[in-house]
Amino acid sequence: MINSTGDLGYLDEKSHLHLTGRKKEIIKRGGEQISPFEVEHALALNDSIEFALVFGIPCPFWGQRVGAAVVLKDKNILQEDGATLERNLKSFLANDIGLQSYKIPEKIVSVNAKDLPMTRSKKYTRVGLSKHLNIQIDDEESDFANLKPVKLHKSLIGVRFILACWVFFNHVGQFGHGWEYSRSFCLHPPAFFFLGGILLAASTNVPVVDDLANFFSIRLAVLHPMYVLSVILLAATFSIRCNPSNYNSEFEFDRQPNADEDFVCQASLVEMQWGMTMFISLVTHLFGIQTWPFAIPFQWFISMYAWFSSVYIFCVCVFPWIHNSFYKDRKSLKKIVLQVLKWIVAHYVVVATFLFNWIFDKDSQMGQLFGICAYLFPVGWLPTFAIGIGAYFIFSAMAPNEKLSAWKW
Amino acid sequence: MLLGRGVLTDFLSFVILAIFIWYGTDKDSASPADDERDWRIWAYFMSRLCSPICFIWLYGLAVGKGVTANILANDILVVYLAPASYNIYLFHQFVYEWYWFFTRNYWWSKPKSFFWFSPLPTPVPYWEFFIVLFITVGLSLVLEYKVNTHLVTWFANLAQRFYGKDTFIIHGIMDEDIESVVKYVIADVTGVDPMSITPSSTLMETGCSSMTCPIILSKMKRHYKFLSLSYRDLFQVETIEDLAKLVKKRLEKVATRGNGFHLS
Repeated sequence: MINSTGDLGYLDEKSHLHLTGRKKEIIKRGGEQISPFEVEHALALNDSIEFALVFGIPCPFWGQRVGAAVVLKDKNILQEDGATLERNLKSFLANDIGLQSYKIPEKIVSVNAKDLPMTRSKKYTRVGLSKHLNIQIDDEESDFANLKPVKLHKSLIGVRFILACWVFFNHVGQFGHGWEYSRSFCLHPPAFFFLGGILLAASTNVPVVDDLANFFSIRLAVLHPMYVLSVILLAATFSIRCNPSNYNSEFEFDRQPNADEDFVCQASLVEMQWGMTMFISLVTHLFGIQTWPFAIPFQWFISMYAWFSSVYIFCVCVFPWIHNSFYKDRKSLKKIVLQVLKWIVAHYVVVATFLFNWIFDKDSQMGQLFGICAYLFPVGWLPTFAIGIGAYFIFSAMAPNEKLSAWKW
Repeated sequence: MLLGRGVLTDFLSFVILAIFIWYGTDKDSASPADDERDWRIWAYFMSRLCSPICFIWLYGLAVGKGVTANILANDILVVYLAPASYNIYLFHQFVYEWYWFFTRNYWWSKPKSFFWFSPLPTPVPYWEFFIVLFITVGLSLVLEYKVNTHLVTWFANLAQRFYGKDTFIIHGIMDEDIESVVKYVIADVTGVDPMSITPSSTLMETGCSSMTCPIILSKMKRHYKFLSLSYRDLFQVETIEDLAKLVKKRLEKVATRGNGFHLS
């Protein structure tokens, strides 16, 4: 309730009026309005605090940020390291009180009561307190505000297991007529690439184009070992059931199961001896290039589902440049959104290519080959990955999890 | 209380599940395709067309409100099962090929009606589906905890030979306290400004993810030679302070075993 005096408050069930502050003292941080009274009340619950004043600190990005001046009960603690006090109080507000993160003061200083300005009616004033105490947000902090590491919810980690099970469901099991067709609803690959973009951006807080070798050595050292191990194991298994003794050196477009042994062991599109096809297959897989159109005619898909790794390795390789282009625009939400829109357009160009091919060339073998190759073509997945990177930057700029409207998500 | 939150994310969870089931009810209503290859291309087209649904859904999960986010943030998923995700995808073909061979005495390699790409799904009945899934998850976890840690270190060393720089050594932190070491190791890997990391910063906030955690672990172990720390540990703690406490506890354990560890 706002009355003509500029006071804020509310009526309780018994019609008692509770004043909660003055309108001009409300802190406006981004789109949120924060009552200093609420934060002061929370701080006062800490045993060491006699009272606190919470006020707005001007900030070019957020408009205002939250600051607090606290008067301690034990004056000796005033000598305590300011950083430790600030850290303890922030932790108290977040963990013990459960105050929303956007309400937690970003600057907390310990002061003597006599240093705080008062009105003529001997009340402490919050207006202009940041200037009085010489507390400000410097340029560097202000710049950083737009790329502050954000708290992505840990459900993004848990969802990886669900998506992996979705992949598993698509390749294993017979569940009756209907469920076979559910397999054609393949939302998990785009979900994986989008998620990859978000999580990779979340783990990269500075532009990495300046130190590419370091970036690649770390990322590939994580991605590659298990991938290589899986390729080696699958190549060995493949060699047991397909070796020079039962190898059909002629290529057949429509593979037919071998009548005796119920599997196919045939040449690649470019016909070669077993050993050469195996060698090229291993090389293309180890370098993660098996989904590129230039490699497809010369190899087998030894690790059939590792096409995803091939695409992801490409995405990681171009990540520094996409990340950098978003990073340069990090101070402008409008520019970030514009970049994401461009990638969405690129994504739908890929979709249109599929549709065009499906309508006009779906009945020819080459049309179908194109359709399937186009699905695996690494560049075709780049927009999905880039939208994921952009989503992280939008998340970082808007911090939807810190807003009162977060429940809508 | 949960039902009042995460409206959009929970709604999209319902939509995704509904489409999934609708696809399963009738092939003809789900696809106008003529044959299997045609059907496959149609499926690819549809998944790309619908992908913004999953973009918004995942963005909503990142916000963390609602029933779906709460379920997916469960520790069983996040701490115990999620670390196996990448390996499930990589090794499920290997597991089902050998499972089929051991139980049927021949190899499953029936191809789709095309010369290239994946085989037809292994037609095990639904109860065997869960057995194969169980074996795959088990193998994936064993590989993650017992093999991958060593392989990552080995690969990183190999990469550094080409790179010419030892990225495992972070100079100037030898005499720092554990919390500072944790901060500097994470900052070194994720690029976040170490000064912006506070003890109450969460690991995800500082850029720890499935991509960076293995390297962070390797660097921590390189710094504290006898430290026992796993990928799972990183997801069991919330903040930098928690992680530093855990590292200290583990190092103290090492010291009591007589390995003469010096705690700075």
